[in-house]
Formats: sequence, C-alpha cells, structure tokens
Amino acid sequence: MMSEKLIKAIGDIDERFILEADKDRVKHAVITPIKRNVYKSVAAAACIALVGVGALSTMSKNDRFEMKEMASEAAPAAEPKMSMIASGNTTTTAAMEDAAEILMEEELPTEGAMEAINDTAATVATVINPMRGVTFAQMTEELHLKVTLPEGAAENNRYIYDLGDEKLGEVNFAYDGKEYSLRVQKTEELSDIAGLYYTFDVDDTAKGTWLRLCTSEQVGSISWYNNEYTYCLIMTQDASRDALENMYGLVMDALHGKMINKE
Amino acid sequence: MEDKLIVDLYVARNEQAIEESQKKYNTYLMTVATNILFNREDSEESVNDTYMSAWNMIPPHLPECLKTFLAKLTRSKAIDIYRGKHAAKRGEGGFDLVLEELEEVISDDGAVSDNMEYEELVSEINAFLEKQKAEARKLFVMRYFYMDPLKDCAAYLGMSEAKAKSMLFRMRADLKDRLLKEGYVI
Repeated sequence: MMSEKLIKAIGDIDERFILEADKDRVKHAVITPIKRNVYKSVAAAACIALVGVGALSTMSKNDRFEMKEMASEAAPAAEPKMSMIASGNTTTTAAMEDAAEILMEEELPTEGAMEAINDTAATVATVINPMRGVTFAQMTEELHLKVTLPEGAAENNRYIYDLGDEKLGEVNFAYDGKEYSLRVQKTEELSDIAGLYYTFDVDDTAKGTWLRLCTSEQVGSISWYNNEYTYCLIMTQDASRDALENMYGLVMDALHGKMINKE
Repeated sequence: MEDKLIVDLYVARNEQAIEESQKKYNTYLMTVATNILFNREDSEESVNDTYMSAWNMIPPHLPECLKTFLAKLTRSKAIDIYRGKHAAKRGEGGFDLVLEELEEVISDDGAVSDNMEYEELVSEINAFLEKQKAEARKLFVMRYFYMDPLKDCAAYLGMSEAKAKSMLFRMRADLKDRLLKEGYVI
C-alpha cells in the first residue's frame, strides 16, 4: 500500500525536524511509568521517612549498594547537556521558531476542503486521547485522592491521563510568579512520571525524595512516594533546587494537613 | 550519560550500552511505541527490539543523534508489529487513522511511481518540511512521525483542534501537489 510507503518514509525524515517537534512534546509528555529496581531504595526511604523508622535498617544490602551507586553517579555528572543541544541544532531550531511566530496565520479552507476536513474529523474523533480536562471533584473521584493546592497557589487547569488501566492526575498552577505541575499516580513503587526527557546534571536521592535538574535548561522535578502514590512536582521554566524543594515543603506540609487526604 | 559515550559503549561492544540507552530513553521510546500500538506488552517488545537493532547496527553505523536514531527504530519496529498483528483488517488505533489521512496524499488512483526510490521520497518530504513554517512542521511531525492523537498535537502547540485539522489538511494537499509536480505521483 502506497500510504505505507509514505508513512515509512516519514519515519526517516531529518532528525532536526523530529527534535524540533519533540521540544514541544516534552513539555506535555505523558509517561508510561517505568519500574526500575533502583527506585525501590528511594521508595523505601520515602516510606520510612514518613513513618519515622530508621531507613537503613529496612534496606537490603543490594538496595544500599544501589543507593550508593546512584549518589556517586549524580555528584560528578556535570557535563551532560540536553540531547538537543548536543546535536548542534539549537540555533536552527530557535530561528525557525522565531520565523514561525512572525509568519503563522490561519487561512480558512474552501467549501470542498471543509467537506474533506469534516470526513477526516469524523475519523479523527475516534482517536483515543489519553488527556482530558477535569474538575477537582472528578479528579478526586477518579484518583480516590484529594489533590488540593497549597494556600496562595493559583490553579490553571487539571487533567487526567488515561493510561490503560492506570490514571495519572496533573494539576498546573502558579505560585509566587513560578509555574509548577503536580502529578500524582497510584503506583507500586516510586516511578518516573515526570515526563521530562532531559539529561539531568543533578540527580539526587535524599530524605525520601528524588530530585533531578537540568540546570542549563532550568528544568527539573522532585518526586516522592507516599501511601501507594507517586507524586511528582515539575518545573519546566526557572527550575532550581531551592524552588523545587521549597514547593515540595509546602506540598508536604499540606499533605500532613489538609491538602491531600486519601478518601 | 552523554549520547556520545553511550555510542562509544556500543562500538566497544559493551553491554552497558543497552543499559544506558534504557536508562535514558526507555520512557521516551515507550511513548513512541504506545502511540502506534496502544498496548504495553507490544510496545515493550518493540522497544526491546530497538535496543537489539541498535546493538547490531552500531558499529558500523554511528548515529549523530542517538535519541532520534532510537526513535526511528522504535517507530519502525512498532509499525511492523502492528502490521503483523493486524494483517487481515484495519483496526481503530491511531496508526490506521494516520494511514487513512496519508492516503489522501498517495491514494490508490494516484499512486507513487514505482520508479520512485525510497530515498527520493524521504528527500522530497524533507524538502517539503523545510519550506513549512515551524508551527506547521512541528504539527506534521507530531501527527505523522510520532502519531500523536490530534487533540494532543493541538494541545502541545496551543491551538484548537479545528486549526490543527485545517493545517494538516492543507499540508497533505501541498505535499500531494509537490509530489505531483515532481512527477512522483502518476
């Protein structure tokens, strides 16, 4: 079938175009959680910190070794950069984006074209879209969890991502001039639900949290595990250790107060 | 770990190459596969096949960008798996919808010339994309490379679904015109 030839050919397009589009996808990526054994250590530490039991006493020798390995990997890893920059296409991409902003305009299709569009639309309408806007009440019902923001935070929107049998909740909000996303998903262990495809030069696990930062792009996340849920606070602009840890503190304060109460 | 170092591991036939690729790109590749397959097991299979192919291809191939190299492999593997499992008839997954949309470009009554080399077609698509405005180009890649659902494409680019549909429609028509002018569609 000729359209298959075309679709395969599109699979071999110039990588510049793929990376260019990827940059926008990254900001909104939906992640299928991965379960890596190494995170068990972090999950264990998170639970232990919360219930006040000595962490090392419950971790296996292997876990301790993995934690040690992670720490030693994270500390000296200052050289990696976002893969897009490493590919040397950043300037081109930025220039193309600037040009697009100036040139982009909407043209209405002709009547005949509209018919074709409507046909396509009818087909496209059946696409399974994993992301949908929800209200606070809907999110609470679907996640079995109340995700309330700290006082002073301005909520922008809420989404549920349908990932097969699993659901991921996301609340986007602003606080003190900075933008955050808080993601929550029921998982068996701490999982990567951040949706960030950067090379992180900071990758720390401490005090039950897992903090990652790409300092050159000012993107980062802090994740933790509590009571069968992975939580992940994400910043895609102006991310810093201080900003993430401060907001994590606010969220955790609320966790023990009124913000997140399992129903 | 930097891509270059991971590629060096492949070249050195060090199995840590696969481990590092997994660590860095597994979630990304899973999203590429899942968009096509809508099935976790099949997606995992295609991603695992990707690492094996990368192991077999590097060296002699030395990808300049490991991320897109792996993404292209995953996409291709996922399409093969999808085709293998849906050989008899079309399903209702995202892949088939994308395929239907692209049939407007190369329909059975206006098929691509058999003489057209695959490389020529890729080159024409690249040239076509190069001429597009950045927003349109991104939309095209999201929809037809990543096979993201239309609603997601629109959300990624901060536009309405109607606008995304309209832009894609125009691009498909433009691509068809281009292929016609170049004599690739007969």
